[in-house]
Amino acid sequence: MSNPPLDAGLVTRLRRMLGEEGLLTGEAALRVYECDGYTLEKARPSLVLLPATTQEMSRSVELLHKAGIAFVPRGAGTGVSGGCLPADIPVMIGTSRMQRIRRVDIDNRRVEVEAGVVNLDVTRLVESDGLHYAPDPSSQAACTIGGNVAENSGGPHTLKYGVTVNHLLGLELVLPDGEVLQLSREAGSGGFDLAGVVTGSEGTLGIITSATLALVKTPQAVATMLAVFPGVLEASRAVSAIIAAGLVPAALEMMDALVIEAVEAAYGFGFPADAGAVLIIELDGLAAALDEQCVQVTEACNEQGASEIRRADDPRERALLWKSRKRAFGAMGRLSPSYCTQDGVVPRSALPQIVERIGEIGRRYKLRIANIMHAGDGNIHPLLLYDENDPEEVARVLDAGRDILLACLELGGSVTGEHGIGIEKTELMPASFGPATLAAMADLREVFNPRALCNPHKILPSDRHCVEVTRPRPRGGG
Amino acid sequence: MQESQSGARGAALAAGTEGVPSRDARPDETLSGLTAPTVLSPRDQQELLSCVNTARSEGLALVVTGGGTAMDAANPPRALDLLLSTRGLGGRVDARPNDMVVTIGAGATLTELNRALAASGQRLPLDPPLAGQATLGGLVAADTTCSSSAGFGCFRDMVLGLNAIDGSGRELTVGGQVVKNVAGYDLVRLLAGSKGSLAIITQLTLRTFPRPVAALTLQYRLADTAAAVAARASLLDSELSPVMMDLLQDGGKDSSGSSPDNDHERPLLLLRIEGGNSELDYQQARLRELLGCAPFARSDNPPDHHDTLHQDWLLRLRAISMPGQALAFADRVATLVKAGGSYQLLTHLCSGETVIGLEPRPPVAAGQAPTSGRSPGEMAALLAELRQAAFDYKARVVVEQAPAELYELVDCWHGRPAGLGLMRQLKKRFDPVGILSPGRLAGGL
Repeated sequence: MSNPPLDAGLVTRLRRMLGEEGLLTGEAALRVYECDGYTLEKARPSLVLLPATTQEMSRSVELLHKAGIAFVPRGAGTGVSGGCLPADIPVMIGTSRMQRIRRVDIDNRRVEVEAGVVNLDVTRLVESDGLHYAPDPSSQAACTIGGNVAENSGGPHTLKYGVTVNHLLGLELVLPDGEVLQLSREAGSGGFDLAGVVTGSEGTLGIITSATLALVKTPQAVATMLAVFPGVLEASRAVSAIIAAGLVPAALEMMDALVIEAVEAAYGFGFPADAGAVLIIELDGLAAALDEQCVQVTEACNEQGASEIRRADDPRERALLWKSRKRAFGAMGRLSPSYCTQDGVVPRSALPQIVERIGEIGRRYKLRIANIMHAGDGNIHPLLLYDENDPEEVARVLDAGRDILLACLELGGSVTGEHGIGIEKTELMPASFGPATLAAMADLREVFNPRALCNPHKILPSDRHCVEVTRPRPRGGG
Repeated sequence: MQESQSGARGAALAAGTEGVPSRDARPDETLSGLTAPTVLSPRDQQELLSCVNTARSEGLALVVTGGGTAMDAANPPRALDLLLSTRGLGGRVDARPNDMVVTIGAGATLTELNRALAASGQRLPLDPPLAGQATLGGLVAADTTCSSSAGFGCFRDMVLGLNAIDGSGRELTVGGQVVKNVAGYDLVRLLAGSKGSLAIITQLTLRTFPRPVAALTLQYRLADTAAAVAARASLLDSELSPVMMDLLQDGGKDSSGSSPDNDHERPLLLLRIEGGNSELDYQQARLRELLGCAPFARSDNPPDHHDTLHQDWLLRLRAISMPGQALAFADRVATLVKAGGSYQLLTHLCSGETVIGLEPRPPVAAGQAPTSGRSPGEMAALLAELRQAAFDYKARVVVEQAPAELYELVDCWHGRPAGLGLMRQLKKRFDPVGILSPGRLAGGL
């Protein structure tokens, strides 16, 4: 899919304002912008703008708004639901040149950073003060704060620490007509929590140019444990047992046999070859508390049939364990030419049921499905393995993915826990919400984005969708 | 003319809400100095919907009330035909302790919720004032800051999903039942803290937390504000994370004052710590090191200082500043208010909010004549002075409770929120006729 060329006069004005660095054209330069981590569909923008300041951003948006041209914001492009896919959208606006640290305020436990600052760099800024930024998506070494806020990103440590919105104190937003707002979430404003509403709105209410983030204390002690189980069912039951024991681990992650195989081949952590599933359990807090909690975790895992429980006390061992988990997606390439990561949520006590349903769905569609889960949150990431040169298999992947998400809804869950609706899941919105609620969501979007120029066709189902987007087709080659 | 209109409205209201329990407002059931003619108490979603639809078709202005603990913390509405109580929307508690989630009617109180959760070892750990009276719907709508927000965040952080009826009569089901969910626009954020001006919350799904093995409230007398600033800094820099870090300051009483505690004008630091037994021992030992003294009082029970501050003062303000500036501004406030009589300041050291109690409520049964206190005009002048001073600290001062006359003289809100234009449009979409608390929020929202 491609977009029509733009008016030459407008391009000239934008180039004059943004400079050569701030405006990209031409196939070679634009290829990288044709998709994010959701690679089943691609579309190349006609133009990519990379403003370096809020003022440049505001003026760029204002010019596009006046010309009636649709645009899509983009952070680092690590999203996995096609949220920044420029389908029927001529202009992409990236935040990658907005990387200033505006304020580090240790006394008030906050930083203000521009949208293009990388998630992990926020923690690096403040770790010597014993602080960190809690949300840690798997892509945290690459993903940027603007995108994190737009997607309300999570990560393995949300179980105890919450998601992005729980750490957001305020943001700077360029509205779809170019107006700049400084939105605070302080108490007693006498208004509505607009910054909270913008969080997770996937770039459809405006472009976030900076965010003020709360910092949390780095815990005195951390205990990371690995528990090995014969299968995912036993591991899922252990998750419930840990929660039932009154513990709130900082993280509680699960990987199944297929993922373990790939991860072991890639990083050689030393997972047992016959492991059916592993849990990574991280406890943090005061050192005085951890030994006792580790005993409780060990008991809960043993009761559910764990064959081995190991505590990674050595920081290097802990780092390798987390690397195995956070880079598990990357390791999957060893098992399959392509894979599609799904993102669904069930009540955590329903993990055994969803695991069984995923198994059934895999058998029905003759697909290999690997499972990574933020098990403590009930947030599942089934990885559907396929070969993108096999169009018939791609179609089965799409159908199986949809069935898994519908199963999540049936179990009282959600079709996305942290990846967003993007362009991928708009057709599942009517299954998730009633017409009145969808109408209220549409109202919200129209108030912020009345001309639907800012990232159209995302989140809510739209009849203007082209067929290729709602039903992605396989791509040849690659 | 006025009377016949309101008579006709009353008749239409009665017809449209037939069967919904209705009564006259009690004299103490006021909001920001006004009294509604009628109180309706729908018992379920359907009855509530009929109230909203009647109000819509008749153009009646209504204010939603839960436990009535925050009714004065906003401007008076432009019109007031009806008080709509959600207290009847309690209903069944659906606790899922293994998911750390509970679903409950918005009319239930926090105390009722925690009683229901106790058997499963869970709790909602926030501690707003008057928790036995405040409803969960009201607490979320007001997004009341708590002492234990230091450890657990605000009410808005607890909400996973909710049901609500908006001002256009739409029955909304927003958010979900699970702890992580980014499907669609997060309308929970829009409604939490919107003080019933966009929609009426009928049911909530909330996060819950395991009860700790043990908890302790510790009270320390500090020498002065400088000592409080130092205590705050050393607590923040330490490995400890008390779930409550409050500083209580009394002042302005004459020297022959009634308090038997000679130290009452010295700041009182209130900490609450939680955890297993060994964790609690460790924290107590470390606090002694950090603060250089032992607590003068220690209790298993949470303190009730927030409740008494709510009940004992006729004029209650809230100053909001950056946490690092809060004590400096509280000091400035003390300087400005002390000449006018006694006062109490409660600073939440983590959030940077200071609740200011002024004009002590006269004792009911005392034989002595009530002290004169400030006139409404003097109160308005003082508020203006405090707001002027707030400028230097990038702080704001809002009114949470005041004598009726003051609402005619001042704006409860301090300035206008950014994005007011968008907020007005949102109000139009969710409440097109303007029936829900019209004009209660900042900028006439």
